[in-house]
Amino acid sequence: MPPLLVTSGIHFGATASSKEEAVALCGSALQSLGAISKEYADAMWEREQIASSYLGNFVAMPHGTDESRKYVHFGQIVFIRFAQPFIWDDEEVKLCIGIAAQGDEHVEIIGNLADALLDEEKFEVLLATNDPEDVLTILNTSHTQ
Amino acid sequence: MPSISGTDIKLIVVACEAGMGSSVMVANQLAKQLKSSGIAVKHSPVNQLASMDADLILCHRGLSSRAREAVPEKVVITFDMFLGDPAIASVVSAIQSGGTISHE
Repeated sequence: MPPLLVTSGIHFGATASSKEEAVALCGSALQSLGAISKEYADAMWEREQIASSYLGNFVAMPHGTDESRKYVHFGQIVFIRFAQPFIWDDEEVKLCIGIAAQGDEHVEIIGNLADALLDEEKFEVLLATNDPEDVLTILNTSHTQ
Repeated sequence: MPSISGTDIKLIVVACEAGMGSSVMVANQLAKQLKSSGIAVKHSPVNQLASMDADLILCHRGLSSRAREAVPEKVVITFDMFLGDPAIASVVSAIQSGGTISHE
């Protein structure tokens, strides 16, 4: 099984003009890595309409429904940063973290993401870096004090 | 209105629609804040809440009616923000000071 976050799942300079396009991009990124089938990508948009996955701080975290976990082949996270911010409901979004999970395999990375969003320095790196290694380092490192 | 004393809480469950995204993030942050208290923090899809045997439930405002329907006898606290919500901060402080937590 591949690691949860891989270099080919990290995209800088993506383009979307709506949340529908952005969620579709997350879905196709996960699908092209072989992590999900199309049904899961569809469920990501379905889930988005039930409740927004906008987190705050210019970041949204699209994922499927509980029901659609069966269309996940292996757990995977994609990091999609947009060249231009776009409007997600009433908020500006610059970064989407797309999640596909079969169980709880992704919990640690999401915890690291939460820490990074609350850490000005790390968050700045996530928004500005052009080196996928920086993203891997930040999201794969837990700093539980 | 259900209420619970901070000292009686053994298990907090954070619920969201899929139990995959936002509840994971909120549960993770809350677990870090409550690390020294010995309280367990789990996450769950809202439709599995009834089987979780939580003492306290946290969920996003948009899911609060589904959560309250699933576990009418439990205290359900709603939040609006996935990071740094004041409702979650007051739960943490009630637990740390042994105060009472009830629906708003």
